[in-house]
Amino acid sequence: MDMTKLLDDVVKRELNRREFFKWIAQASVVVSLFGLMDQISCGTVPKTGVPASPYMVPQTADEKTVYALCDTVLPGRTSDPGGAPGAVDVGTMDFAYDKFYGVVQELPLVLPLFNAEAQNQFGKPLYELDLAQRTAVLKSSETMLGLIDQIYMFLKGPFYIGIISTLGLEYMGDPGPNLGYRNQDFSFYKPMSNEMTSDGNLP
Amino acid sequence: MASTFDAVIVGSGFGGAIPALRLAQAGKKVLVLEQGRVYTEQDFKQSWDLKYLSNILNITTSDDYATFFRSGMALGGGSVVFSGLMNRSPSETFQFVDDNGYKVWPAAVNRQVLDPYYDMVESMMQVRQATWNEVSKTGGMFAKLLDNVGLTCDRARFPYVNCRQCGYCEAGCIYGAKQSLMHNYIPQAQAAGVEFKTGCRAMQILPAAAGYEVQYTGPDDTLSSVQGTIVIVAAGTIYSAELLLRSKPSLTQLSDQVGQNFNNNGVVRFGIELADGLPSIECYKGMDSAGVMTYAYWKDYGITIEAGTSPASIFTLNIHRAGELGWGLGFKQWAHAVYPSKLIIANIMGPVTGEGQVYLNSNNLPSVHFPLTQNLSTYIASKIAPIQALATANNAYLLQTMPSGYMYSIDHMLGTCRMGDDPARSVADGNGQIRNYPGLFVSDSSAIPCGTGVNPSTTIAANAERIAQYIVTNW
Ligand SMILES: Cc1cc2nc3c(=O)[nH]c(=O)nc-3n(C[C@H](O)[C@H](O)[C@H](O)COP(=O)(O)OP(=O)(O)OC[C@H]3O[C@@H](n4cnc5c(N)ncnc54)[C@H](O)[C@@H]3O)c2cc1C
Ligand code: SF4
Repeated sequence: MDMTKLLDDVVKRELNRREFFKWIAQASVVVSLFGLMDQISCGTVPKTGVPASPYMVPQTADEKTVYALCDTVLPGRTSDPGGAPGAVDVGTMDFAYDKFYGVVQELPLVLPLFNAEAQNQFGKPLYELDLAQRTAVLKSSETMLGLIDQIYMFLKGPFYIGIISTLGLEYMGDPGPNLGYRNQDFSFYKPMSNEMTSDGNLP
Repeated sequence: MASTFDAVIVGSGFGGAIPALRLAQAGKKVLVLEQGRVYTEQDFKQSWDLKYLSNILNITTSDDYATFFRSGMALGGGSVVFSGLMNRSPSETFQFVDDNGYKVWPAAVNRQVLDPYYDMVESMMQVRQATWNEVSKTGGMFAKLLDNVGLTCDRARFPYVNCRQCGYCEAGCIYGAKQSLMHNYIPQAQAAGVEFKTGCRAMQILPAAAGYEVQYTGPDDTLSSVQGTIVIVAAGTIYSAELLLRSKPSLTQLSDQVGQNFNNNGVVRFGIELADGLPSIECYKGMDSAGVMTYAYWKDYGITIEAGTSPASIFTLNIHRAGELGWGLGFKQWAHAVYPSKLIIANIMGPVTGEGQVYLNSNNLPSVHFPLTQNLSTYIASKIAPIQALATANNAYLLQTMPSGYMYSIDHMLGTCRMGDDPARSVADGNGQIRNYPGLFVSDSSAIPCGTGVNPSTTIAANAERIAQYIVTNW
């Protein structure tokens, strides 16, 4: 995708700021999802290896913005008043920058827009704001950015699915891989149910 | 010179593996082309990591990115990754008339006709009703919610033997408890002489002197071809349509209905947040299905509901109370409070009009156009209404599964090469034979014309048994 041309086109079409946000986010997510889906359907899994621990530390402004985004979508230990883990504590940065998952390959284009909104509201880039301020920025961006839900979903994934670390699942009370729960008492509430069929099938 | 078989079958899921066995048992020389690889219990992992899952699943999105579709991609197709719910479609399903006034099932196919084939499938795959001891606490609680308002809930049917209730059915069963096609039809077909070529993707079908030629790419990406007197297309709803659409330049008489009528089995996914004070349901304990389904809404609403579709942790991603944010500190704390103790996830299913479409995009790859149409929105709203009442009566919250509503698809794609009585509105006749192409059949989910009322695999499988018998008798 030729981003320069796209930007030119946007300028030429004189989109207003709100339309521009929405349009650019759609374009970016579409591209990154395409990247992901292409790789999935071809079954080509780049051997990127297990991410180094501790997880990726943001260096560039873009990386810091992605980090701030992750830490707003699911606030981590340092932002959560209760100290509970969040996205950045389970390797979400590594997940986002992994070629296979393709989450932020094209997002650098969107990141300045979050920062622009942050500047607009608080006079600072997103990554210099506290959690309440970042939340306010994301809330207002949400109405402007098409497909933002998909970005959030991808950023929540590592925490709830346990892709890189099981810390999120543990926090949620899910033990993950297991030998089974055959000896559990599965008779909970069952006698209180009435069945319509004799064998599970309707006629 | 391409090698020649009596039958070439594309795909080894329910629609492919079943005819493969039956045709071989009838003495035919059969080849199955399967684009996925062979996976055994030793290869599976208890993991939801996309990198792992992408080996056994095809995942794609609708062209508006609003919804996802998953389908199996391994020897055994969807049976390798499915949640194992295997109920028969209720009789009324086969009488469904769509929004266009069309009775979509061929007159020759109904529950009575399918029953002997359902019997065959259930016997082969050891399908049986779960015992109450196999129903998870999630399932028990769902049954209780229904019972509280005087409604019924039934134990569902599964092909599971010595299930350990580990909850990773959709990642492949490492314990060999799930009786996927890899445990029955496929080994028996191999024993009967069927050749399975894995890592082979059919690209195009062309007419040939004695039947059809199937061009395919092998594991090394080289193009080869085989010929079959009979060719059976069973690559699943999206990919069967893809193959036929790609074959249109050579099969010029194919119906323009190929790729049309795509439907999602009427699936609408919702969540229920239980009232405070109830015991924890520990929702990760148990099979991926909670083991129960309700027919209580079948008569009045034309839907059934299966509870506890897992992995619950994954669906926590999107689940939230209507009007509240699905992200942020508040969301994280809320999700922590409800999972795993008070969160039930469930699927509504029911016959629907197929309004979606599979088409070839500019890269010559399949895309799914499945917009949230007015009809679909109305369907969702009308089917969610009684669930809202159920939740309210139980002091529970009905939860949305998409940021702006309810997830309306995912695994139950049907209809793109549907059978039917009206040649103008169907791709194949009632025997699965593609119109204008004798010997070219479709026998998978793409042939199923509308929602099956319940999870679709048993009906797909029984219909494949029926079509196989037609072929054996007539070819
Ligand atoms: C995660 C998950 C859970 C599910 N749970 C349930 C459940 O509990 N109960 C239920 O009834 N249903 C369930 N389903 C749905 C069910 O699995 C499908 O409806 C069913 O498998 C469809 O059968 P099929 O034969 O049409 O296609 P599939 O089973 O999808 O088989 C098609 C096969 O064709 C292969 N293929 C595709 N294109 C090509 C090509 N060009 N060349 C060669 N091979 C090709 C694919 O790799 C695949 O193996 C689930 C599905 C998924 C993905
Ligand atoms: S819950 Fe049962 S069938 Fe499912 S993966 Fe575990 S052992 Fe296998």
